[in-house]
Amino acid sequence: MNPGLSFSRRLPLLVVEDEALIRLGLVQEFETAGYQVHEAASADEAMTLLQTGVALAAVVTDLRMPGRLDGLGLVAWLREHRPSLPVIVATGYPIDLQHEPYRTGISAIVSKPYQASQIVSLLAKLGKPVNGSHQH
Amino acid sequence: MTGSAAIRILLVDDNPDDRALVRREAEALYSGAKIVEAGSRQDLEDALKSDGYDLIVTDLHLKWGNGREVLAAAREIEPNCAIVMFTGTGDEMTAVELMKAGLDDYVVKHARQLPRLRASMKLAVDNARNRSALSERERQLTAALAHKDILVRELHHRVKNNLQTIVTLLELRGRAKGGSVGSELEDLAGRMRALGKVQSRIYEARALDQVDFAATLGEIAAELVKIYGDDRIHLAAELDGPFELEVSRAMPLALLCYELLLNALKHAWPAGRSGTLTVEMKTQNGAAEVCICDDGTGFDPNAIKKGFGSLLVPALAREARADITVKANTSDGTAARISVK
Repeated sequence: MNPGLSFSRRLPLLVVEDEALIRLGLVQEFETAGYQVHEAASADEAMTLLQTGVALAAVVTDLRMPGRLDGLGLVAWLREHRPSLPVIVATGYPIDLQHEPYRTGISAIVSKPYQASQIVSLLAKLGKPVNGSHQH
Repeated sequence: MTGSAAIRILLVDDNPDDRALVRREAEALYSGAKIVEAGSRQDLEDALKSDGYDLIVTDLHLKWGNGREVLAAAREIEPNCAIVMFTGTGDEMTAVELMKAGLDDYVVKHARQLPRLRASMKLAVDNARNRSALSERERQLTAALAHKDILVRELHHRVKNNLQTIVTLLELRGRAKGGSVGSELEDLAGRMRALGKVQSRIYEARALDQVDFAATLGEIAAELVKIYGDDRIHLAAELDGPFELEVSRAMPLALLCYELLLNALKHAWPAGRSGTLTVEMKTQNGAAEVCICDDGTGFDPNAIKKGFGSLLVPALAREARADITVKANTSDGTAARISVK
């Protein structure tokens, strides 16, 4: 977990998900909850946006996505270049939490199939002190 | 090493007469064999640098070294090569020690032992060929296993993604419709997520047709209380796990428990009342007793006979090969007991 997460509800979220319908569901849920949302259909597309230096409240990303970079590569890049940006991983891929890449730089992990509002609740908690546990 | 190519043999001995003796035996055994002789350390080093060998026959005591070094050097380069020691010195203890270090056979250097040397060389080469074939088979099996693992991972990922797509569609439609239709669609999405919880456990299990149902039930109950409990309902879960169950039974059982939990959360505590939802699982000798109890107002089972849940519950119980009894009492809440054998 990132102890010093900075989260601003006024800033937009970035949703990275290759499945169009799943992405649509997330975007609608976040917009209904009052967030502005940027969307990307791949980690490469997300990188193009991130490299413009856009201000964000948090990133919600899938792991397995087609393209040059996958979600884990995106998480690694964020850990290095935007370490205070909260990252929620929402994936159907089996994750071994003991595996090093998953132990740092990720604020929470949500396993598919999830309820989109679960992620809204997690985002609401990001502004509060973290309790150190991953969500499944 | 292939069966059809000429066999390659290296003879290591500082005595040229002894090398000639072994060469005769080797040629009698394998006509057309390519034989290299090493009488000095330099010869040995040069020989080991060149092509691989199928068989190495070495003396134990050499003026410039010993057979142990030859064995170690050869094994490092050619792990599957046959190695036989042909020596006038040494004893049983040395033979045992060298065999443990990877020597195939040990033959005493004596004219009477020449037939034995020939048999030993043949057996050692045959054994080495079997070792090579086994190593190759092991390599192929390891590769096939890794491939299977990737395939299972991908399939698992695909199923969960498809479930997520269904959940998303139901949620989007549910939100658009609102009201009682919206609520029905939300419930359907919840049922898909309950199946997803079982699916998640499949990959974690040792056997792909078994899941830990205790952990699955714990997750389903926790998620439902989070969604429908509105911080009014306390979940008291006591699950005696792990309880391994076939996936074909775990899927309907997960849906069955989902119906009972959802029913309790939606109806047991009306008008914002608070209470405790108890979920227990006791296991013994491969059987489990699940209890889903609420301390709410209870209900009249006759009143909901035509509900969707009452249609699903018996069908799901039958498919899961589980017995279910529901005790509804207007003063003590409702207790559903499921017996899985």
